[in-house]
Parts: sequence; structure tokens; C-alpha cells
Amino acid sequence: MCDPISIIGLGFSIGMSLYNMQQQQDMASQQSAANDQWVAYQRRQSQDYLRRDEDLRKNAEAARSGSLEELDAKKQTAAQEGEAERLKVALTPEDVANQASGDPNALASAMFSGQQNGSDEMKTAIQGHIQQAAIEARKRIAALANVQAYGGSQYGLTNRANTIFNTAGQDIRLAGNERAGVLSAYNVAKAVEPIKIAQYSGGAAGGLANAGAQVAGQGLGNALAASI
Amino acid sequence: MGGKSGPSNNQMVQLEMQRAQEAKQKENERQARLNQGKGAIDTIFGTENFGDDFYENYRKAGLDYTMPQLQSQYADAKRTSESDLARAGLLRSGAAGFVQNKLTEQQGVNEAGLRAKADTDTAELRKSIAAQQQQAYNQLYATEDPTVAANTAATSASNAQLQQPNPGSLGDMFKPIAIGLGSAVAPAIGEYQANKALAARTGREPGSSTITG
Repeated sequence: MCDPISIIGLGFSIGMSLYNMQQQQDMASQQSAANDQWVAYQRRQSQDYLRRDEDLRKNAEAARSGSLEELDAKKQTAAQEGEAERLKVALTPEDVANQASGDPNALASAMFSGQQNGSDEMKTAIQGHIQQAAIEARKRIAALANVQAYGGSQYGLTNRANTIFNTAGQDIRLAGNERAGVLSAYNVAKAVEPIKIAQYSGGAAGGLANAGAQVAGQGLGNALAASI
Repeated sequence: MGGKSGPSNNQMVQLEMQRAQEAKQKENERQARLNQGKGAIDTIFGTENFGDDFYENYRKAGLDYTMPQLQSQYADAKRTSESDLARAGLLRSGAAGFVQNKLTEQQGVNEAGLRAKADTDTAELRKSIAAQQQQAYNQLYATEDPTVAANTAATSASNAQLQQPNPGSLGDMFKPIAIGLGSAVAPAIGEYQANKALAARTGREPGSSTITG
């Protein structure tokens, strides 16, 4: 009834079709694995980026909050007063300081030459005036020191604040620059695409299955024709 | 059959959703930190900390430096005027009153000028503190946004500066009033005026009469 060639062709065709299905399932499972791998990679990259960005942000925040703490009113006032004290000493001439404190040598050296030979009462009176003048001068120097301590002097408030801001600014900019770098690296990682497995088109196995089916069909046709 | 499988596509969608959720949470945290940071800056630079007392101390310090110099110059000018008036014998005259008025007027104007200067200097201090506050805001935004950090570099170079009062001498604040000179020439002026009046009455120039007969 059926010639052997047709049976072989039929069997071959079925075998090739099964093989084709198997291949397509393998491809699908490989694509799925590749996708899983890509998702895991992206999750890892995302978490890594968030962690590094947060670490760098914390560096910047530490610099910023540290500078802010140094700029509160109490610390600024204390700094201004400290600077005023430093300036009082730095601005006051030594002679004036000695005269104000009543140093006899300093007071005597400030007298005119003819006054040195006067009576003790006269000298005492003149030296009293000189001391009073030196005390007044010191008061004004102290006021000047107080004014200068707010801004223009070496460690005055304005210069101090600028130094604090600049120091913190360096750390913030460094962190900002590094964060920008981390972000751009992450953007490259985000652009990575999953591996694309080429779809199985049937190829040779499909052709062979067709050829087998053709042979089987031909054989069966011939057998049917002969039997009629 | 074939191609991307259903579950894997779902995983990708979930990944994107997770990313979106993380971004949203990150932004919420960022905004909370910005609000908290701005609040802290406002408190530090607010009136409770940098109140009128802080600025008043600076104004007073400026006046403590300049006012004694003015008082000293006023005392010197007064003493000089008294001496000049006494030498000219005008100590108890209307001229003395005139000199006293001029000195008082100059003293008042000069003192008002110094007080005005102290006030504007204090305004500069307020500006300087406000600039510090602005710097603090800039650093807050730079901390929370890396792209701002780069832009802050340019502005941080131009830091706040405080325009301060001139620490040098105030210079001569009282114009000298000539007293002795006016008294010395007064007789000559009087003689000139008398001759002028006489000439108008007689039609002759004084000192040029002709004797005839």
C-alpha cells in the first residue's frame, strides 16, 4: 500500500518539524535569559549609581552644613570680638599703650625737653595730661578695631565668611563634578541594550522537512494512483 | 513562537517602573532637604540672630571712632575762636555771637554728616550679611544639584565685600573764622566810608582842596 520511501519521507518531515520547534524554544529561552541578565545588570547599575551619588551628595552636604554652622550669629559675633581684641593690640602703638598704662619712662619721653627740669608738681600734672590723652587715643583705637573687625581686617567678619564659603565651595564643586561624572557613566550603562538572539527561521531543518513531506506526498500519490 | 518572551518584557517594564519610583522618591527627598536647608539658612541669617542689636553695635562702633575726633576739633576751634575774640577785644560783642553761631552750625552739620555716614555704613553691613545668606542658598542648591555646582564656581570668586568707613583722619571739619584781621582794618574802613560821605556832601574829593587868595 505505502512505499517505503513515502514512509521515510513522512517520518523525516515530522522529525524535522519537531527539531524546528525545539530550536525555536531554545532561542526563546536564550532570549529570556539574556533579558534577565540585562535587567539584573541595569538594576545593579542603578543601585550602584544611587549609592555613589548619595555618598558624593553627603560629602557636599557635610561641607555645606559645616560652613553654615560657622556662620551663625553667635560664632560670627565671637569671631568679630576676637578679631577686635587682636586689632586693639595690633593697632595700638607701643608708646601709647605704655603711656596709657602710666609707665613713667613712656610718660617722661613724651614731655617737651624743657619740661624735664620743671618742678615735680608740674611734671606730674603734664604727665597726667599725657596719660589721659593716651587713654583717649586707646579708646578711639579700640573703636577703630571694633569697626575694622566687621570687615576689612585680616580675620574680619566679611573675610572670615568668604574664607568659609570658599572652602566649602571647593568641596561642593568637587562633589558636584564627581556626581556629574557618575551620572554620565550611568547614562552610558543605561543605554546598554539586552542581547538580541536572532530569531530561528526554520533554515535547513525546515527545508529538509519540506523535502521529506514532498517525497512522502509524491509516494503516497503514486501508491493511491496505482491502487485505483 | 520565537522572539522575546512575555515574562521578560514584563521584567523590563517593571525595571522602568522601579527606576521611575526611585527617581520620584529621590526627588521627594531632595525637595524635603531643600526646604529644610532653606529654613535653616533663613533662621541663621534671620532677625533673631542678625537683629538690630548686631547692626547697632557696628553703627555705634563707627560713631565711637569718628565722634571724638569731631568733638576734639570742635573744642580746638572754639578755643581758637575764644582766644582770637579776646585778642580783638570782641569777646562780649555781637561778633562773638556770630562766631559762636557759625561754630554751632558747623558742629551740627558735621555731626549729622557723620551720623548719616555711620547709618549708610551699617546698611552696607546689612548688605554684606544678605550676601552671605545668598551664598548659603547658592551652596544649598549646588549641593542638591550637581549642575548648579559648576555654575557656582564663577560666582564664588566675587565674594561679598563690606564697604567700611575710612579709618583715617576726618580732616579739618571747621572752617577758620578770621577775627583779628577784621578788627585791625575796621578803623581804616570807617575812615574810608566817612570821607566818601563827606565828598558826596561837598562835591570835593577829600584831601584835594585848593586854597586861594
